Parts: sequence; C-alpha cells; structure tokens
Amino acid sequence: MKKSVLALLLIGVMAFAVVASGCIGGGGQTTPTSTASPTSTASPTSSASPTQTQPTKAIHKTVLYVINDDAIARINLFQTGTVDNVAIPPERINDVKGLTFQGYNSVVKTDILQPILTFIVFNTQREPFNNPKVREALAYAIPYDQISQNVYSGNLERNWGPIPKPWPGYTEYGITKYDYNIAKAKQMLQEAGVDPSKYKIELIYNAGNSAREKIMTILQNVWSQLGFQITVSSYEWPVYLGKTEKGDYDVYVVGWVPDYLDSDNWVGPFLYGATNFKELNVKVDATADDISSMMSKAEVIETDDGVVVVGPKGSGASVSLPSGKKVIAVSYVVDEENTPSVKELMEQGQGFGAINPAFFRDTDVDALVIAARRETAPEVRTELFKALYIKGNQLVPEVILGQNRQMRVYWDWVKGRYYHPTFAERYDLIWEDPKAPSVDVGIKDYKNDPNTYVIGTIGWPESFDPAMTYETFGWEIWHEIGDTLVTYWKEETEKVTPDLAVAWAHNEDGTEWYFVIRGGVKAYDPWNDKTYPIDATDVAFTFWRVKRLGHSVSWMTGFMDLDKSQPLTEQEFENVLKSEKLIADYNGKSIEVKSMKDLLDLFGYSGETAGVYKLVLPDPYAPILGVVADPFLSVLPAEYLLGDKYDEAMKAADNGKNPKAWEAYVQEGEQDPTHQLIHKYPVGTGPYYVKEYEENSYIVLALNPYYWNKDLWEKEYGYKP
Amino acid sequence: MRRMPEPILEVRDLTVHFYTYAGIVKAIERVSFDVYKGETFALVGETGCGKSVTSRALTQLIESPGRIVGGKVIYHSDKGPIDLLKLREEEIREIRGKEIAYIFQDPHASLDPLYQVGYQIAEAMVVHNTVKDLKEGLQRALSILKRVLIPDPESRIKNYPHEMSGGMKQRVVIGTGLTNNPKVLIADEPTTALDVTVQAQILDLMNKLKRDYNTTLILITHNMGVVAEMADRIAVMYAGKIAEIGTAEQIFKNPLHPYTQGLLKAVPNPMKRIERLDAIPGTVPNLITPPSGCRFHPRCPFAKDICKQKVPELKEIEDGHFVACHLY
Amino acid sequence: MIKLAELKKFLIRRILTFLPTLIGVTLIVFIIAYVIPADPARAWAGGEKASQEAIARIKAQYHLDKPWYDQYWFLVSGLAKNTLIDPRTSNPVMDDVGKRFPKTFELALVAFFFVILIGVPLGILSALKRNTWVDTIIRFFALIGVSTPVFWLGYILIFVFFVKFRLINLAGFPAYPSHQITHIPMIDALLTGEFTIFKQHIGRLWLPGFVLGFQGAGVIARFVRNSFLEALSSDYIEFLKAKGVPKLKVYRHALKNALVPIITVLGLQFGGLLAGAPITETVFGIPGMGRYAIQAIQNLDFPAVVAVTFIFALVYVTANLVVDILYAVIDPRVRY
Repeated sequence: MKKSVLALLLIGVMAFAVVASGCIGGGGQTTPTSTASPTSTASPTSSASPTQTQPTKAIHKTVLYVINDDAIARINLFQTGTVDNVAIPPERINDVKGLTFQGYNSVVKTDILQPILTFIVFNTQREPFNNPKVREALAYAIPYDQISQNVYSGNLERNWGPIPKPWPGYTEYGITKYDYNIAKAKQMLQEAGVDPSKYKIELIYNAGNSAREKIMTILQNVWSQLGFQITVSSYEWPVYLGKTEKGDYDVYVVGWVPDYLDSDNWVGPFLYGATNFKELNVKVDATADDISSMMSKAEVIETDDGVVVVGPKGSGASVSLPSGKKVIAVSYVVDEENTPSVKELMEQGQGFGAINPAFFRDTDVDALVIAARRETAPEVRTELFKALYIKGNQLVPEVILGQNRQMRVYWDWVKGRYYHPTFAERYDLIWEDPKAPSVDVGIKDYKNDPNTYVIGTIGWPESFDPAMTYETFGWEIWHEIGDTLVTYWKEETEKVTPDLAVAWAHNEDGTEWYFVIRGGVKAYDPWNDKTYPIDATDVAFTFWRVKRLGHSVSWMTGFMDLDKSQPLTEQEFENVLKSEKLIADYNGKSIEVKSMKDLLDLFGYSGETAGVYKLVLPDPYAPILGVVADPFLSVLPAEYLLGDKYDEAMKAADNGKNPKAWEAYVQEGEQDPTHQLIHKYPVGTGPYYVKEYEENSYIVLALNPYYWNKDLWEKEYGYKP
Repeated sequence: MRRMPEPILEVRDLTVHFYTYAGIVKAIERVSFDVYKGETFALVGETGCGKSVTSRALTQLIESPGRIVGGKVIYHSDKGPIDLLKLREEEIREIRGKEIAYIFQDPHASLDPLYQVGYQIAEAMVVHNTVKDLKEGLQRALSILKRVLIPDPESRIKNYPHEMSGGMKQRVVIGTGLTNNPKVLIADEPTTALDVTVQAQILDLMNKLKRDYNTTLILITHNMGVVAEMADRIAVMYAGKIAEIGTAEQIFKNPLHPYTQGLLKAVPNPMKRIERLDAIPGTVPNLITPPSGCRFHPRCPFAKDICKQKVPELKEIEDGHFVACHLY
Repeated sequence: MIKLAELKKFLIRRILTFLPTLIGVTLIVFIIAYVIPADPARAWAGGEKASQEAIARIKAQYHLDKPWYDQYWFLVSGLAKNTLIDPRTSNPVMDDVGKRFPKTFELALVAFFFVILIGVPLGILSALKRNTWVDTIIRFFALIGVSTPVFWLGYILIFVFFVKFRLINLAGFPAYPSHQITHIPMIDALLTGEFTIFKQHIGRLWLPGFVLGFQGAGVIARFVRNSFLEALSSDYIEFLKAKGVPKLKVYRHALKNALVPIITVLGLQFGGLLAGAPITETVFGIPGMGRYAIQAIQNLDFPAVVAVTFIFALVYVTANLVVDILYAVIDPRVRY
C-alpha cells in the first residue's frame, strides 16, 4: 500500500502540473510565422505602388514594455525571444552573448560612451579632506582598472574631470591624469604632513546597490594600506539621502546623468559653491593691461587654445599671458549678504541642491560657472568650461572613477538603432526584419512579432504626468507619446529641430524667445476616443503647470519667468515684430525677422500655424532650447486637463495672458486633480499613445492615428494608419 | 462456583519479548493456562509481572517494540478451535471486539475525546457489521447505556467523554465491550482507577451482566480483595511466568507457591486483627537479564540450589491446582 | 458542539479585538519608521535630484514636521477615507494596495494549497511508515524543503518550465472576472462560473505557488508526522484496536486528534506565505504587494508602510480567528 500511495501522490502532483500548464491561455511553443507570402521577392519594377505585398521594414505598430524586476527572469525572457531588447546588469553580460534564436543572433553593444560619470565625493568641510593635497593623494590611490573590470565588466572609461567626453569643456590639456600609484599616494600624504593613522574614515553607500558596495569594498582595501582606518557602511535610501544632503558623511560614491544637453548641467552640480555675485564682468580678447585694471588678483588657467583669467574686481593684478591664445577675463564682486555660508547650506540639507555634493566652495570657480551660464557665445562658453574642467581636475572635490559605457542587448532582427545621449530612441524610427519570429508574450494576446517592439525592463515610470516625472522611464514614455516645442532628431546633439514649434526667434539679449506653434496638431485621447486641437495657449498652460505643480523637475523652470511668458496670436506677433528687433538662427543662417513670413521661410515651413508662444527668461541662458526639448515639457491639451472647468479657467486667465489666474484650477503637488487625471490616463500628441497598462507589470503603446507627422510612416514603411 | 470442564481458551507457552534500546525485555516467558467457559478467571500479580501483556497477547494486541515470539492461544469458537496467534490481521480484527472484548483500566484513556460516547459505542457495532448502519447502531447504543445503568441515557448518548464522570465513563467502556455479546470479556484492572464506592457498583454490574449473558470473564488485577469476591479460578504470575493456578478456594486456603503465600500475607484481612503486614523482601527482577532458573529464587525464603539452575515447570499437585516450584 | 448563539457572541467578541490589535500594530510600525533618522521627504521627492521646493512642499503636505501623533492620525484618517495619495506613485494608497493585494493573496492561496496537498499526505505517510526507508526519504525531502531558498528553486523551475518548455509566463497577469464579489479573482471566477479566467489564473500562479509553498510543505510534513505519531500513541488508540476497529478508521481517529496542532501551524504558515511572497513575486514578475511592501519600506514611504502593515495584520488576525473557530469545531473540549 505504501508504494501505491507514494506513486499516487507523485502522479497527482504531476497531473496537476500538466493540467495547470494547459490552463495557460495560449502558452504554447513558439511558432515561427512568416509575414511574407510565397511570392515574396517584390520586383523593383512595381516601385510605383507604395502598398507592397512584401514590406522590407516592419514598422513598430505596438510597443510593449514588459516589467520584471528580476535580472535572471529578464534574461530568460530574452533567451526565449519573448522580448526584443532587454535591460540587464553589467555583471550578467556573458549570459546574453552569443545567443541564437531561430536563426537570429543576440547583439551585445558596449561601445557607446554615455554622458554618465561615476565619482567619489569627499566631504571637503571635514578633515583630512579639506586639504586638496590629501584629495589628490587619494586620487592616486584608486584602482581604476580594477573597479572598471570588477564592477562594470570593463565598461567604465577613464575620465579625469567633471565633464563627459566629448561635451564642450572636456579636455586632456593641462590636467593631471591620475592613475593607480600607491607609492605616489603615500609620498604625497607625507609631503602634505598628514599622518593617516590618525584618521577614521567611513565610506558609505545606499543599501541594495551592489555596484557601489563593490566599489567601497575595493577602496577600503586600498586606502587601509595607506594607513587610514577605513570602515564601510550601508544605509537605507532615505537615511543615506539625509546624511549626504547635510554633509553628514566622509566619502560616498554616486553617479550623475544630465538633464539636458549642456555642460552647465555638469559644472554646476559638480563645482558650484552657491556664491552669489553682485557683478560679473566678462571680457573676451583681454590683454594683460585689461586684466590689471579689471581685477586685484588673477588666477590664470591655460587651455589648449585659450587662456582664462579670473579674479575679484579691482586693479593691480599682474599676469604673464602666453601668446597666440584667445584670452577671456572674468572679474567679479561677491554679494556677501546673499551668499549663505557653507555651514548654513549643510544645515538646510542643500548638498547636491544649491551647492555641490562635496560642499566645496572656491569663489573663482563659482565665478566661472556663473559666467559660462550667462554667456551666449558658444566658443567663449567652451573655453570657460575647459577652464572649469581643469580646475575640477586640480582641486578634486570629487574624483571621477570613470564614464559609463552603455550596454545594449537585443536581437539582430531589430534594425535602424541609433543612440542619443539624453533621449531614448523613438520606436517608430527603428524597425524589424519582417521575417523575424513571432513569440507569445503571455500578456493577454500580445505577441512579439516584427510589428511589436517588446522591451524587457525594470522599475516603473514615476508618473504618466510629464510635469511630475524626473527619471529615465517616465521621460522615455513621453518621448514616444508626446511632442515638445523643439527636439533633437535621432543622433543630433548640437542643433535642435522643429517639433511642435515650426520656427523660433529671440530678442538680442536672449531674454525673450518666440515659438511659432504648428497648426493642425491634435492630441489623441484614447480613453474617451476624442481629440483636442493644440495651440499656443496649451503651450503656455503646459509650461506654467510644470512650475505650479512644483515637482523636483520644475527646477529647470527657474531659468524661465513663466508669469511673464504668454501665448500670442499671429497678429500680436506681427505687432511685436514692428517694435522689437528679433533675430532668428537656423541652418547656419541668421536673419533679422521682419515678418512672420520671413521667419517661416527661414525654417522652410509653409503650413498652418496655431499662435505664438512668448517665453521670457530672467537672464539669458544659452542652453534654453536644450531644456525646452526635454520630455517634461511635452505639450498637453489644457481642455483635457481642465475638463469642464476649461472655459472658466481660460476666461479668468485671459486666455493665458494672465497665467496667475490659473492657480485656482491647478493645485500644488500630487493632490492636484489635473495631475491625478493625466497620471492615470495620459494624453499626448506624439507618434504613440498609451493604450493600456498594468502597474509594475506592463505598458502598451500603439501608433497614434492622429499623429501630425504620420506621413513619415508612409514614406519609410509604406504604412498608413 | 461451578466448574465448567469445557475450555474456551487454551494458552500454551505464550512468550512475548520487547526489543528496546536497552536490551531485550523478556516480558512473559512460556505462559500456559486454561480458561473455562462461563467462569471468572483472575490473573493476578504485582505491577510489572506481565499480566497486562499476557491479556493483550491473547488477541495479538502487542505493538512494536513488542513481539509475540512463540506459543499458542487456542480459542474454541463456534466454528471450532482456532489458534489466535496464527490469524492474519484482518481475521483477528474480526474477533477482537466481537467475540473477545476488552475493558481497560483507565476510562479517561479509553475514549476518544473528540467523539460522542454514543458514536463510540455504535462504532463497535458498525465495524463488525452487527448493525446495518450508524443510525441503528446509535439506537442500540441507547439500550446499552440503559443496560449499564446510566441515568438519562437519551441525553447522555450525545455527551463527549469530558462531560462524564469516571464511573460513568467506565460504564460506557463496559457497555462498549458488551455491545456484540462477546464470548470472552477481558477486563484489565477495571476498577483500579475508580474510587471505592464506584468500584463496588462496577463489580456488581459486571457480575450481573456476566450472569445475564453467560460471558467468560478474564479479570486482571493486583487487588486480592476483588479477586476473592469475583474469581472462580486464579492464576498467579510473577516476573513474566505463571507461578500457580488453582480455584479460588484452593489458592486462598492452600497457597503452594512461596510467592503466593507471601502475596496473601501482604494483603490485609479485614476480618483478622493485624499486627504487621509482611512484605516480600527484595524487588521485582530486571526482565532484560532475569534471574536464572526460577525467577523468584532471589527473594524466596525456601530457595535451594536447584532453584538457581533449573526453571520449574507447572505441576498438578491436586485436582486443578498447579504450581511451578522446585519444592514440589 | 457549536451552539450558534454562542458562536455569534464569540465572533463578535473576537472581531472587536481586531480594532485595538490593528491600531496597535500600525502604530508601532509607524513609530519605528518615524524614529529612524532619515529624510524621507527627499527620497519621495526624487532622491539626489530633488529640489528644495519639492521637498518643502512634501513636508508640509504629509505633515512631516508635525509631532508623531498628528502624523499618525493624518495617515490613518487619510487611509480610511482613501484620500491619502502616495507621494511616490501619485495614486491613492488604498488604490495601490487594492490593486496588488488580491494577486498576493491568490499566490498565497495557491501556495497554501500545495503546502496542504504535499505536506499533509507526506507527513501521514511518514508517520505510518515510521523508521522505514519511506520515512527517511520523506524526512530528507522535508529537510530540503525547509532549507531551499525560494529564488533558487524558482530559477531552476523557471529554466525547466519556461526556457525549455514554454509552459508558464514571467510577465503580466490574467484579467479579473467581470463581477467582483470577494475581490479575490480566482474565487470570484469560480463563483461566477467564468472557468477560462479561473484556468488562466491557475496557469499563471501554479508554479510560483509551488515554489512559495515548497518550504511550507516541508515544515508541515515534519509537523504532521510528529503530531500524527503522538496521536497514534494515545491511549484510546489501543482501545479502538481492542474494539476491532480497522486500521483506516483508527487513523481517522488519530488524524482528527492530531488536527488541532496542525491547524495552528497551518494558520501561522499562511501568514508566513505572505511574508515570503516578495521574492517569489520578483522572480516570477507578479505585480503584487510583496514587492510593493519592500519598496515602501526601503523608501520609508510612511503612507504605504502603514497601509501594508494594516492589511497584513488584518490577514493575520483573520487567519487566527479562522483557526480558533476550527478548533471549536473539531475539539468539543474547547470553550470560548
């Protein structure tokens, strides 16, 4: 009897398993499907008809994000062809190399250098890190290669200053290329008169971050050899933030990802010490005499083809300048009253906020940061950034461990991929081999076929409200489903392209920008199957709302004065042109704008327009177009957001001329009803729309049938929605 | 006290060993006796002498680590004599509770606390198919409760064991034993766990039922007073062996075995004036390594050399009076 | 046995004790989170990139600068009315919890089913075949079950059932039935007769449920073995045999007596399944409450932490109540 009972049990469990597996809706073996008909080879003679029976590029009609927080599970999803592209941690790279699936191969690309820097932060207000010689010595005591190999599988490239390669300001001239040299480190410490055994140093990292844990463990090992007493501690995320923001730490490690394409978004966070200036004077092509009459002291920084001289305003500074190089002189007057002390900033928890995370302050450096911020001429800014890079390298408030390379893992039936440093790809601009296999994803009826781009990833967007999302996932979604006024096309990093703005112009000092809004654009609301027309008032409302909601991402609206910014009609714009001098630059040409037609001709646009948005800046900010291209400024339809309060709100705000009146209709924070609405039911103007989603499980995007640029799909893929 | 010459049980050389980590316990060794139809047969001895083991062994009710090592138990059923020890599990199960029934010492331990007493009585009938189904069994249980003189049987039948007193529980146990009108009823210390007044009632009850149904009663006890009152014949056990067998009169008037003599002297006679109770010197032997020869020899005032060497066999001294001792 | 009126009184009394228990538990958890020296506002506002204004706004909105009793009351009343919006997910907290809890609960139910299906019979078998090779194998299996980490077993089985044979899913979750009665999708699907949906849920959850329940099955097998053996060595068992009761019926008696401690352990096990869910959910990609709870704790998300604690505590006290009622059903000696 015993044998039969055991056998029965085993059979029972197995039977249950088999029955249960049969219960899965369509979880069967993968079936290779071919979308091509047997008469596949389409002859080129039939080039006239755009609707071929045999497409050579399968357009991504659907984008499916499959969320699984476990790396092994994601690898399994990739191996079985369930996802096209997968996010995996660097140490798992060997699990995805050399895979094959139904005749296709996995692609592992690690040659793209991202603008991401990983670095060590010293608390420059504490001993011994307040001594720059100590910081330099420690910079020689870091095993850079070992860290790159062990922690990032070799995908961390050396960088010696706070600007990523190849952004403006990155330079290898006049810097010290710290390498791993323990003997030198020991010697430098001796020369600095520092006895390591007197110091207890705590290296901290946030719990759960295995990369940072490994780095700190390596450092503990090496720095102990120098004679320091090193401990390593991990803290839970909120505790960790509490410590680092208040300067309650010795050393920590962190990474920085830029918000927009400008080096100011690097030197600021890394070097700026929160000094406020009453005056800041910049003179280009200055001579030694100019300098001695501008400043009382002078610091000279030589770059590869320029010289930057900086000092407090006064007279009497004498310098010897190398010849043949362009000289840029910066003199300043500190506003002592409005410059908080570093101690105050620590108490206020301003680390990585108003002041750099190392709580480092050098007035000369601060002056250069602000000068670069206010300057508009790109060549001058580049020289200033180079000088800042050199200073950052010399004074090492942070030691750069390296610049991260991107790891991309996907199947080679995905074609046309490109890379942009701050944006994800637009998935309608990449495509698949139409003969690629079709695999059941297991989520409803979705299949990973050539017309569906399936991404296996981790996490969840912070919000579907672009005004309240400040991380990569949320920005990626809005890059697909929304439009900004201008954008960077594919791999372009220098110049912006028209998106919802067809043309733009600015006044001479760059404090007023005018964006002509594209006509005929409709926002698609899939939740109610409605569309909303977009015009300049929606743009004004969108921008203003970001500031009003007050999410962290809204700090970038600090470059703008949104209470003064407003929408204009085409007629009002023409009136402005009559009284103000406006300049437009595009495609290498620069004109003074005399009429709307002039402007539109410069940009080569002849379609309808829907008003003009006037954006006012309190100070000129050269990278403002880069900021405007960020997905958090995706234009939203005010009519959708405000619902039945729309007419009332527009009347109260005089259609946007008085944006302050909108405060009654939009609250601060997550409680705001317009936020709650779009957070659950996003609506945008972009090439895709959010079709459905399940939190922490999946998101489905589908091609937007009302997209204003859908002709692009017909041209590229022969596809008409 | 009528002597019934027809045996209903013939036990020959019954041997049970217990295989423990400490060693092999020779619990009972070559136990032999007869039980006659309709009589009350008492099996007496002190604690640990093997009388309970003997009573269990009769129907193979021995659990591991115990094992019936040898012997025969011939039961004279209606279908003829059967050796109970040779029966298979299913066959002996049919006999237990139906033809040979038991009553155990502790009524608290005999009843399952989670089931109603009525169910437990009916269960004895249902498992032997002496009733059609549980419903009929419960009806019969009601009449059994009446038979064992439990007051208010209609409500008592639904009681759980913890809702009854010890005496009532023992009546239920007795009733359970009698449900299928067994030929033999084995009662292992049925009143030891009860107080004296209840004891008397139970004994009376057992006597009455025995007369009504002509049941053979095997009574296991160490209480000589109960034996005197109830027993027709007596077997005395010591250290796993039978020392003496005889009628009640023979044993009480003429105890042959030194152990029996000592036992009777140790029990107070309420009719005589007591000066002192004579205890038997020494203690019960270790049954893993029992004494050689006669197991009583270390404590026997009459021990001789031969007692150490040779195991005494049961010898009939007078008619029906057997003793295992080298004195005779 | 159970008298209905007494049962009702018993239930009411016990349910009344729920409230102080739940308040006590959530209050203690809240205070623990509260006294941790950290800056949760910054974490909620976006971490290193958080702006000062956002941090200040969040502090004011969530009463983070007010004393602990003010904060606690703010959280609890907001949760009760479901007006409290989570700063990290922007959703009302109870909505977030309500979306995820049924999935975790279903997973726990399936796991519990395996615990009983595998653990109890093996435990009984092991007891009946005490000290034979069958017993040894089963005890060995139980030891493995108790020692196997959930994720290891999960990975192995995923490799077999997903990579080698596409029999399960690692993403998404089946749809809910059209009518919500108990709000547990599997049960509702059975009640409304939508068997396809029921099968889909089983299909998604059987393997994660097995993995989650495997450890519990090991524990239960050992416990059932011991409890059953103890019951088998009770005195009344001998009397049952003397009555001539067949083996199977004797086991039935023993099993019923063994049930009380077994049910106690099963009740505790169910709570433990909820605690083990996060890893299983992560490995199998189930968007349930386990992962949500972990992230809430890591980010010191007070509203979510209090809500999650409340739900878990509710499940525990309910499981205990069910166990207590079952005691009374099984054992007539239990008085309430």
